[in-house]
Amino acid sequence: MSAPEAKLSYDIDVKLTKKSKPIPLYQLFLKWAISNKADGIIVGATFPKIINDCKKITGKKLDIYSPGIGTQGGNAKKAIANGSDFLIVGRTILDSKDPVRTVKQLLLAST
Amino acid sequence: MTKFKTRIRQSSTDSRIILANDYDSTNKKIFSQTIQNIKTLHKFLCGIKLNFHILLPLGKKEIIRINKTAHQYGLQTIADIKLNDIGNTNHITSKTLWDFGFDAIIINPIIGPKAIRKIVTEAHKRDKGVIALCHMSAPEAKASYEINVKLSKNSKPKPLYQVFLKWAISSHADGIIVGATYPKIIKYCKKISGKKLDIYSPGIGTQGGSGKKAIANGSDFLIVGRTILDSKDPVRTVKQTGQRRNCIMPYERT
Repeated sequence: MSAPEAKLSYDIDVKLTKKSKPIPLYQLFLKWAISNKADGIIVGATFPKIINDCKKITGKKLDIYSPGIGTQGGNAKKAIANGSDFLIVGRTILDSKDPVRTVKQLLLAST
Repeated sequence: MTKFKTRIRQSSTDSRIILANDYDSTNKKIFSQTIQNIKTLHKFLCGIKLNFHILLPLGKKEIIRINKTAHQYGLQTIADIKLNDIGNTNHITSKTLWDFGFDAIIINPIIGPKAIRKIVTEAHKRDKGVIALCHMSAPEAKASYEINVKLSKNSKPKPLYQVFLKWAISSHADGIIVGATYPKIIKYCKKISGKKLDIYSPGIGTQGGSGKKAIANGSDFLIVGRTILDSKDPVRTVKQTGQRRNCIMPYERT
């Protein structure tokens, strides 16, 4: 998730078996998304390192959709550079006085 | 207005059953049937829970009318959307549901304790209630809700539902969901939460949970859907559910 409050849950360490090394919960969700042949996953643009981590593991199996650009503090360029396939943008465009200009600027910044 | 927790207790003097009014999308009379359910079953219920089954196909006007009718007949209404999003979306969604007349919403605690707290604080300002998932009734949920998690490097691993329980308590939520299919977990949650949280248990009947066992282990409310909705005589079924399971009894007496 893109919200900072989500870090605590999605990064919580889980132990799948008694002897296994703890892994963060989001890595388990990632594994489940791949094994269930989902089309994509959501990883907030606010966590570029996690985007990088997920892309490394999934390769072309999953598209990464990243919300949290702009208002929430995520950076479009960084998200794309780290492996995001799609950017989800809301308030930055909706609240803009000139939405067309804003979306164009975002497009330039992300390519 | 009184608090949600007080209102649901006042509504439950005759029954602790909440109707899960979940019709599938092929049903074209969802609205009229829901109104009819309220009118014919209200004596044996304390509340009605509306899921996406109703919220997606129906519009704002119809939802408001369902909530108003439920209130006229002394029932509390719960929006079962398992809310799970960023702060702004949680805020807008819950505000919209309060404006529609709902008394409580069900949220997914994966959003984290700070986010739960925000929803609860806003809800309580309007005397509305928040119920957090703790353990689902579906057998597939076991893999997630019972997964062992470590909160810090040196802490002992514990199942995720225990973390969710802790967060529900610390966030001052009004209640939690624990499936009637897991009576031992109901017992554990009641032991830890005491009177701080009401336990709402779905999964009675069709999913295999026993109402009597759930109540005996600490459930405060039973959420029943298909057992009643699919019955040829819903009034009789809901009466039987209550009597057989010892739950159409005044709340205080048990």
